[in-house]
Amino acid sequence: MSEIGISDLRTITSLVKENFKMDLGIYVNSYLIRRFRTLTEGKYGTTAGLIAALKQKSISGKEITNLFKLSCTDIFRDPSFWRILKKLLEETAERTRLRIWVADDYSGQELIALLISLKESGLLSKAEVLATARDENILDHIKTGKIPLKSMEQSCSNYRKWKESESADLYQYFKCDESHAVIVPELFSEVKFSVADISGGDIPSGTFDLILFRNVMLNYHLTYQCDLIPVLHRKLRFSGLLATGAKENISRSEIASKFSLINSEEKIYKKIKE
Amino acid sequence: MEFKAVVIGGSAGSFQVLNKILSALPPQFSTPVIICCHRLKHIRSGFVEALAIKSKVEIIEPEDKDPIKRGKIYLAPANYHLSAELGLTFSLSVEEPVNNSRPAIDITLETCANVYKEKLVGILLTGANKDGAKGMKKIKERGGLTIVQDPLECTIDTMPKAAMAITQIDHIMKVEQIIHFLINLDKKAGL
Repeated sequence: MSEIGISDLRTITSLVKENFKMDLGIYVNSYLIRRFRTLTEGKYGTTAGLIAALKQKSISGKEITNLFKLSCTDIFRDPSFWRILKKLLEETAERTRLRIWVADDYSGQELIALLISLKESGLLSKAEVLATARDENILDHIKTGKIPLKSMEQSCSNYRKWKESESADLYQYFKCDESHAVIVPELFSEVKFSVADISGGDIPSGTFDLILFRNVMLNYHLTYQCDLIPVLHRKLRFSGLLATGAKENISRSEIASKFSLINSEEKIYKKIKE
Repeated sequence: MEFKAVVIGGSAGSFQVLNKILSALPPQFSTPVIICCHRLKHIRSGFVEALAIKSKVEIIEPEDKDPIKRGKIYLAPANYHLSAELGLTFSLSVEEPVNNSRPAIDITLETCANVYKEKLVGILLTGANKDGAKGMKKIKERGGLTIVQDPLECTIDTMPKAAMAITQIDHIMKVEQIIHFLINLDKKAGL
């Protein structure tokens, strides 16, 4: 049986914490169960097999962090969001040199879409972009700029919708091998990459005009989500933008009133109070 | 047996059936209904609005961590998986598609089964792939009640037949029977 019950999950997360100092308690149960199922239905065969491997310390930390890399990439997910963001960034760039933080990334899809958008606005060389991930292993995955070819069909469709042009070709930004599309080095050349555990106070210096944080909080418990919002607020310049996913909601945070929702469909917030 | 929630799965082609079921529910219908229906990823609006035209019960696309409340019908948003969590809240996810689908019916059904156990009714409607079969199996294993739309009545019967192939389904019903079942179930819950 590869069924992972709640008590199994508690055992697994406790062993992961003991072995690798990773706190998985920030994630919702359903998400963790799905991530660990790839191991219980794969290499370790059963839930008991996975627990035994953790107890015997015959499983590596990398195997655990690999679970949290999203293999499915959906560049320009929500094309309408990217159209609005492009305009907002162009307006902001008229006043200041852009500083943008792609926070807690899991796949690189948001970073790639942002860079292409900046490039097409002529802002790539005028913007400072920081991409952070919670773990070195995930960051290394993002830095490769590799997208599985099977994911590209959806991304190309999104790109055409974003451009509102049937002939728009996302592949102009990639070189392909047999299994992957790899981002052209030019796009990544000015990006700063770093590992950052946002809640652990391990956050980048300075403030930002935009924090791109779409669909990251979905996997987290509500209490942890609420812990993150003040951190993100502090890292935004006055009038800076926080982009969350269209179905995410920061209204439960105690400091929600320090933001104004400037686009309710796309959930783009502006910092209006220090 | 008092059921605490109803979860319904169907493919994009089940819209008419869903519409018929939801429009027949009375305004005082209080058992939460959680629906996962395959839909186009990039069309984010229109589905709820179309179902809401005839429904007398409020239909909502939940946001992440919204509570599951009585008297509401919830529809999985486009391009997100919809899960139920302990504590009766929803969580959404942009993880990999399952059965080529996001939202995937299996995910919604399985997580509802984990939360509601024997207090859950799972209903699988017409559909062209096997998504939902494993979820129905999980509901059954957890002691919940399973219903599939009668394959003879389905436009495409792959989905209910896939569930029947791996699980002893409790009831095979036509749409009218499903409607009567739901109305009676809610009356009992209100006693």
